[in-house]
Amino acid sequence: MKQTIIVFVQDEPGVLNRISRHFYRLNYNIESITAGRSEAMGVTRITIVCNHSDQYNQSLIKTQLEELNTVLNVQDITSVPSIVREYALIKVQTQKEEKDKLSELIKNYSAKIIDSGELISIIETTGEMEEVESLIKSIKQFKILEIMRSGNMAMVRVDQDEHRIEIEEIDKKKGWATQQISDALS
Amino acid sequence: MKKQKLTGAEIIWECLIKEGVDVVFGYPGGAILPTYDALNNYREKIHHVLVRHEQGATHMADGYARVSGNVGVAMATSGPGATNMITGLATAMMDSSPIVCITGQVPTAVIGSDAFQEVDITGVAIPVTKHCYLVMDVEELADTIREAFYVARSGRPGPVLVDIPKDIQNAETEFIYSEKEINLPGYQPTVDIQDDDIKEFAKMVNEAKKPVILAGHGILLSEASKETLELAEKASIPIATTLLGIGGVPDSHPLVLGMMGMHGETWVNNAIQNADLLIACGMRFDDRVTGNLKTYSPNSKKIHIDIDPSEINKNIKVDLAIQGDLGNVLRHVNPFINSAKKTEWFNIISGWNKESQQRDVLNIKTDALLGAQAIRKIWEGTKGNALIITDVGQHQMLEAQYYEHDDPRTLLTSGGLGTMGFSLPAAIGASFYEKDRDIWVIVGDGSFQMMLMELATAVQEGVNINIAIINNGYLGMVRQWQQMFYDARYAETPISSPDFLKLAEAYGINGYRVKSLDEIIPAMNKANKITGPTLIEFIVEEHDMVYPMVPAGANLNDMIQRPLFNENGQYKKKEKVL
Ligand SMILES: Cc1cc2nc3c(=O)[nH]c(=O)nc-3n(C[C@H](O)[C@H](O)[C@H](O)COP(=O)(O)OP(=O)(O)OC[C@H]3O[C@@H](n4cnc5c(N)ncnc54)[C@H](O)[C@@H]3O)c2cc1C
Ligand SMILES: Cc1ncc(C[n+]2csc(CCOP(=O)(O)OP(=O)(O)O)c2C)c(N)n1
Ligand SMILES: [Mg+2]
Repeated sequence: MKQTIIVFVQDEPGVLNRISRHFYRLNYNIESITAGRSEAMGVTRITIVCNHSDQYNQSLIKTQLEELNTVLNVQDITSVPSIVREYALIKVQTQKEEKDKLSELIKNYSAKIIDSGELISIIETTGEMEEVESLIKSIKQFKILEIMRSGNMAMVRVDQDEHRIEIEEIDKKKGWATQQISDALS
Repeated sequence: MKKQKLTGAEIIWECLIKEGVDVVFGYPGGAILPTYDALNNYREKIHHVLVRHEQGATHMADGYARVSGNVGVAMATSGPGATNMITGLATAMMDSSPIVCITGQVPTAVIGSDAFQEVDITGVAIPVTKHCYLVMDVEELADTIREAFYVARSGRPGPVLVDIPKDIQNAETEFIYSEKEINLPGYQPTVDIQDDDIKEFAKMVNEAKKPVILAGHGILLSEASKETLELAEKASIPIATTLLGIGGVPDSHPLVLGMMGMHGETWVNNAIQNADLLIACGMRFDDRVTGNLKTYSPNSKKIHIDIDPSEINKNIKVDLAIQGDLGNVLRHVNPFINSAKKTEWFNIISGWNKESQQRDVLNIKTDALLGAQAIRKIWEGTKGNALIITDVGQHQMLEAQYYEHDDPRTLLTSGGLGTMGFSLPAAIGASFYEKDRDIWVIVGDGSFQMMLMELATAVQEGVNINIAIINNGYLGMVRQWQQMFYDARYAETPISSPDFLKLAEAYGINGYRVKSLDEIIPAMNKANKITGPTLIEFIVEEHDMVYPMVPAGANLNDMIQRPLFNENGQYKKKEKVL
């Protein structure tokens, strides 16, 4: 089955290493993993989409991750109505005369060209995974040079507030990257 | 007033003293030199035991932890010193034993450069530790060590590794040992108990006709022997123990059936398979306990009390799960348990028990000494009162079957990892805590040779342990599998040994050899008179097997039984088993 999990972790070196081995150990395939700083200082929020046979019960990965000291909270949102979105960059090469056709085509999607040269353009898009897939499919008529996809990010819907998790800020000393980022910005 | 500054190395020892540590098992080397240098100032408070292999140090810390319930401490240098600890960490991890391992690391400036004796030990150790730390700042050293001890001992205990680069050991700072309560954002070892769960628990127990308590290692870790017995006695519930649960409840208690699982007794496994309620108390349904999961105790409701939520519904789906400390949960539930007698259920169980007696090894007459008989004699010779540390193999299972333990923490054995070589070092470690009981190591000829270098440590420290080598000339447990499942093709299981008496002599200790039942007690008496380590070699029947046995993955009630024998104590059929 496919499972979507949100993991809140302390922002410190090695934390991904500690988490990812549990997926490997259970023979879960990570389809996508996306991480970034959260609303709480020192806390990184990760969305993981994984695939697995039904050998283990669904909550096992959650309880195993929760056991880790560096993990603050784990939420399995597989069946919680949520906004799940992906961001993608696609580098395409077209013939000169095809450029308009490309612009026309992507109008059907929430996508835009954010960089373009004589023949090559970079398209930026966001959407559900299926929309991104469909965009890529339709651009295939041109020459796709590169694709970079963020993988899914998820947030439970507004009307699901009981599923929202409040994360407390943690000791500033412990926030490693976020501390450096905010130091750099301030 | 300005506080005096200490070096990182001094801070390490100060922290250990604050944590109540009085013995450390370790081995020096380049990256831990500053810490060993500082040891000289702490000799009155901390005794350091020089081991002969860092794996030995971890098992010693583990043995110390298992017998005392306190955190055991091991120390090693970077690189090979640290990697030698991995087996010991994994052993402690599997069996929830609280140890802290301190390793030296190359200086921070060269970490990541493949410096001499550099290994990313925290990277290697993540899967085999409860948590591990790399200290990159001397300001964080004291807090980290304090946290390490807290994590090791709280909740479900386990091993923790603290890796400390050499320059951090040399750096100076003020030593402050915080007294504040530790609060780690990602770690909540205690939980509240829900009233509803307690009511449901009591209801299920009160309604059950054929209940069985599955007593696991959690009873020892939670020190819940009294509460478990109270539950059992009130509602008249038979108790089956896991290997690591042995001693949690007295084997001589009429409600205690014995060990369950792969080498559990017939009546114990039958009771589990035929039960209408299983109450799992601090045990994790290991596959050696359940056999085939699909057919495991098919008609029972199941209650699981475990402090670790990731154990609940992992292997066995249960009807009621209570996360919490076992003793605490039972203290809540016991007042709601009705007194009851379950005569019918006990009659059924004792029927199975009677049937099994006809196959009991102790009633067989043979010229050779059987491992089981040897161990039963050790039980007699120690009046069932010793601290026993076993290794891994047939002798380990025979000990579990034939040595009755009436007190908690009197059997130390590597269950989850089954680490050969565990017993001798674990016994040395335990001897630093256990001063009242005789200490007996029961070890196979194969297992003894896996860590026998620690004999030198035992001699150097003059520890009072008796080593019983059960010599069957084989890696017996593996040979048993070859015999049963590989048509007796013995691939690399016959194993030779040195002359153990000469070995004893070389180490300067007394050694004895026994070949028959009546030589055992006299040899034990001799050994007991001697202070310091002694060794007794038991020459036992080579081809004996451990029965009953549930083949791996088979149904728990499909046990291979010991063949029946006749009134002369001879097997009825010529079997290849003897
Ligand atoms: C050769 C060999 C043969 C074996 N054969 C058998 C066999 O026949 N039968 C057998 O039983 N074992 C056998 N074993 C051992 C087996 O592999 C397991 O190690 C053993 O069954 C585990 O027992 P346990 O679940 O009680 O302990 P552990 O594995 O230590 O688990 C303890 C459980 O208690 C929980 N716990 C800890 N503290 C608390 C607390 N305070 N409150 C509540 N819960 C707590 C933990 O979270 C954990 O789930 C064998 C091992 C070897 C090497
Ligand atoms: C380190 C390690 N290597 C291999 C094994 C596999 N193994 C399990 S029992 C056993 C044989 C043990 O032999 P011995 O110590 O002589 O005990 P016996 O079974 O003969 O009583 C082996 C090799 C193990 N458990 N641990
Ligand atoms: Mg042997």
